[in-house]
Amino acid sequence: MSFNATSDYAAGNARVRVKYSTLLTRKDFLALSEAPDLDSLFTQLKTTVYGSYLELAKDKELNARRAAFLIRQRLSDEFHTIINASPDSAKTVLLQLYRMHEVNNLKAVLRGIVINSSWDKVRFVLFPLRSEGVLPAQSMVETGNVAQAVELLKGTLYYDTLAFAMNRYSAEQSLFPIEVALDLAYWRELWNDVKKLPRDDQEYAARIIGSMLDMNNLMWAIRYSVYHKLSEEEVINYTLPFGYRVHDDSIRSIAAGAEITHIVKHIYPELRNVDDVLLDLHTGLPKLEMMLEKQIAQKCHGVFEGNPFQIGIPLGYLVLLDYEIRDLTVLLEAKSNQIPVDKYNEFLTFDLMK
Amino acid sequence: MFYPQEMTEIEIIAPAKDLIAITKVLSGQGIFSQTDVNYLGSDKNHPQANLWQEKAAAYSILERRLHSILLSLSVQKSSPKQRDYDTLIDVEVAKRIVDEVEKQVKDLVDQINHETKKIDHLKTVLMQIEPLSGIDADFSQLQNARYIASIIGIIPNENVERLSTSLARIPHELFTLSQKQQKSVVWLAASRENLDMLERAARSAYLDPISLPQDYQGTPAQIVESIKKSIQDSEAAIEKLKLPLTEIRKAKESELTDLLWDIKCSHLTTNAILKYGRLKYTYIIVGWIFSSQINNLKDKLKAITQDVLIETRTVKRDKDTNEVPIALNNPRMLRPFQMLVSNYAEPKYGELDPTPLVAILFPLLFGAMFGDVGHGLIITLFGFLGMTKKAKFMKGLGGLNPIIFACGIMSTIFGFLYGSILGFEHVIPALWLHPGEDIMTILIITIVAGVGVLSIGYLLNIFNLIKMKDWPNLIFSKNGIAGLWLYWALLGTGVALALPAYGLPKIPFIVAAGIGVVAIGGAEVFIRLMEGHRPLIHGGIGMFAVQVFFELLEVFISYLSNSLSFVRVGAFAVAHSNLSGVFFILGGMVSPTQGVGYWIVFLIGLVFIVGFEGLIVGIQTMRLTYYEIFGKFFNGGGKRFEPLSLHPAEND
Repeated sequence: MSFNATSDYAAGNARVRVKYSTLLTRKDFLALSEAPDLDSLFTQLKTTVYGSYLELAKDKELNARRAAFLIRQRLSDEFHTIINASPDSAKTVLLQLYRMHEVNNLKAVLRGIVINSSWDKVRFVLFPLRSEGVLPAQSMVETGNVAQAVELLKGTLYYDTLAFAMNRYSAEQSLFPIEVALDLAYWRELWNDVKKLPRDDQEYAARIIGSMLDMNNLMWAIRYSVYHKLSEEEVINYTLPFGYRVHDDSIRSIAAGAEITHIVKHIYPELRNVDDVLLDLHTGLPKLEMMLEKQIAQKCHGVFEGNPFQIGIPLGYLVLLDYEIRDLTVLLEAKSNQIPVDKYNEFLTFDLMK
Repeated sequence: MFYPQEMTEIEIIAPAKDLIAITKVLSGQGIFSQTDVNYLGSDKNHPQANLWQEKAAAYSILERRLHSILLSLSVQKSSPKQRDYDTLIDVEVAKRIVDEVEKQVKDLVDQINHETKKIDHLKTVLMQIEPLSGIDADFSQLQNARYIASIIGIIPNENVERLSTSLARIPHELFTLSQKQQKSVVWLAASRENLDMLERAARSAYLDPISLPQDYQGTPAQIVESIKKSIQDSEAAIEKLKLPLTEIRKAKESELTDLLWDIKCSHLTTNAILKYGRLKYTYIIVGWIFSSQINNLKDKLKAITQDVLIETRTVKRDKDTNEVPIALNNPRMLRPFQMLVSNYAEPKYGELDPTPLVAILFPLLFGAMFGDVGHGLIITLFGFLGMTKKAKFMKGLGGLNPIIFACGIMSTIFGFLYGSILGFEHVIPALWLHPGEDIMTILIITIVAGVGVLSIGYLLNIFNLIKMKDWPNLIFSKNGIAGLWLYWALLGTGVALALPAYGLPKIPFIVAAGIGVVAIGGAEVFIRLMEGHRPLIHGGIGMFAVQVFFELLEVFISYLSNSLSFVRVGAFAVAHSNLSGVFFILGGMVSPTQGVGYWIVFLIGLVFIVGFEGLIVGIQTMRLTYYEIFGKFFNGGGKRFEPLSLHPAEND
């Protein structure tokens, strides 16, 4: 631990630790889960840190979708505060992590255009980015045309990636190649930024971001092989050749049709019940994804132990907060559709049934 | 003036027939901020419900088309005419005009676009082929080989290696022919029987094949020459096509720009209506309005129709609420200083507006740090020129000009007090003192003044807390009564111990300080006790003691640093007089007889002092205002009042 790292992270990470203590506890989650209906869930949620966000809308305006939109603002605010308080070396990676939401927004906007959605419908599924965003989302939706919307991105870092993918879109009229290209470009840049961090930070960042990258890469490879039945060369081209624990030989084996359960067990020997979970790949994959997300959440909690002056702390907190908000979104949807806890629990990173 | 404008929430139920007139009344005066309530509605699928949606979409499309036409005609952006935009332009009428002009323009623009695209395509091909000019082979033959399938194309650099990996199980060759920034031109080849796999791999690696135009044959060098010739031909064609467009622009420019503003205004109106709630025959309009304007607005609405229903709801200032939009309400003279406040944060509805305080303190602090009659008058002049828009170079500063003007005046007044004019310290008599000669006096005075300013900050915070009825924080918080109590007790103790000559009693101050320490140290416990929260202490006594220790340490340090922070006011006053002296010495070195050289150095010094030192003093003043003063009592966090406006210029 260098003196520089100590001085760079001391104030910022102290604040993040305070913020970490505001994450919802098991007791909070149980109370939220026990809410009998959506209105009770809103009432319960208003007693938490999300209360001030929900109060931005009037009670009569609140529904599951609007509430999910409002509580996502907390993540946006936290990113903003934490990035501002972080040292320059960490800022690049944190900003890049924040950009993941911009990439998702871009994909949502393009999907909205394809299904002819109005801006009023699209806006509430977007992540509430602050002014750093480069997407003219409303103008894009209003063009009603993917090619014209992409032209509005000229001069942004997305344009070159999309320009290549647009040739495919024009020929196939499917957003698949565009979304894949955006994902690959995003994760490649994020990983490059991680590799540029000082050595100590690199290890902590790789532990969290690398695990997220691994999960995505593995899921892509399996989904392209199993769901989309893509050829070996396509699976390879649509995945990344690097990662933290998932290496290229594993991806290539999946692409070549190797036994997936065997590969997953080889990469993650600590995962239990992989055989059972992946007995039926179609139903098992979402469960495997949740198992891996829970593992990432554990890693994020883990970085709060030991060296207090490193990038893992802001990264871990932001990822945990993201998961927490996703869990709350699942709860909101579940309560709004009256789905019982045993059905939605498997979609939560936070295990309510433990 | 001391609080944001008093607001009332208004709910209007208006008949559909009067909707436009009512919307115009609401938008015309800058007193109404709209709330989006489009979720309110009895029948979303009713055809009437979609009418405004369709209109808004139609105006949006027309606006975009017209923009595109004006762009094609190279019409410069202009301001809308000064008139009321009080009716919606008929979509069909507007569409007919746009269709007609578009028809005239479209064909020409299409041809220009066609030629432009051709040039772009040829330039792209040229860029791809130029690096291959050295290859003396016929490309068409290479692409039509009998046993080998090959693709020449552009690929993102990062995909090259992955493409090769994806073809690892078949024999293949992948050559990078050229590489630029993020793209590479590559030649990929494999046996023709593996063509399917080759194409799949190339497609999935986003390899964009280069399709050589059919008309171009031969070696790359020959193709390059032919393409350059084609580009020249297309450029000449474009110039020819632009002539009739110029004629159309001359004839239609005025009509089209007027139409654009009409459409824009109609679009804004329909967008506002889309945010209304819809019942079967009526619309629900919700928003916030200045309370003082309620009756005025009611009268205007009733004048349009008697069928309008109006409900109002006032919000008390004692609630810590974010729902009320904030419009600051200051006399004209103080408004420039509102910008400094808004730049920091909008006050909350129940919070004191610090603008009057800033309007006094900001110029005062600046003048005290930059006291000089000559320099002050120069700054005043710049501010005046900026305010009256007589100096172009000051225009960019916009709303800052009145602040510069006020700071200049204060600087001049302090110049008389300090006896300083253009850096000459003894030309005019000092009405008060010379900072450069009475250094200790000025430093002590500024600290004492700082203590006064900080105390005002504490008092204002106490007032805010009383107003909000936040009793626990009022009594125990470090910026509440306990904080002010401890601050003054420590000051008294310090003076009693360090300056016995004043004869202040030590014991009462020490006891008072002790009480303050207990109040602030135990604030968390006391507050939880008052609010009825349990347990009173989290994490055990040991943890609590450590926490209290560090909190008190932080409080002591902030008392000290905040008070000493005002030393900079005196220090800058001293530095200002001495900085001028430095330029006099430099001038003397250049020209001991005070010739031309001396006065040139004097002028350079003048520019440096007014420009550079003035800027630094301005920044320091802002720092003192934001951190030392605002930090004591101003939290902010209110949302800005955005008046509904349908005038196109205000929304452009």
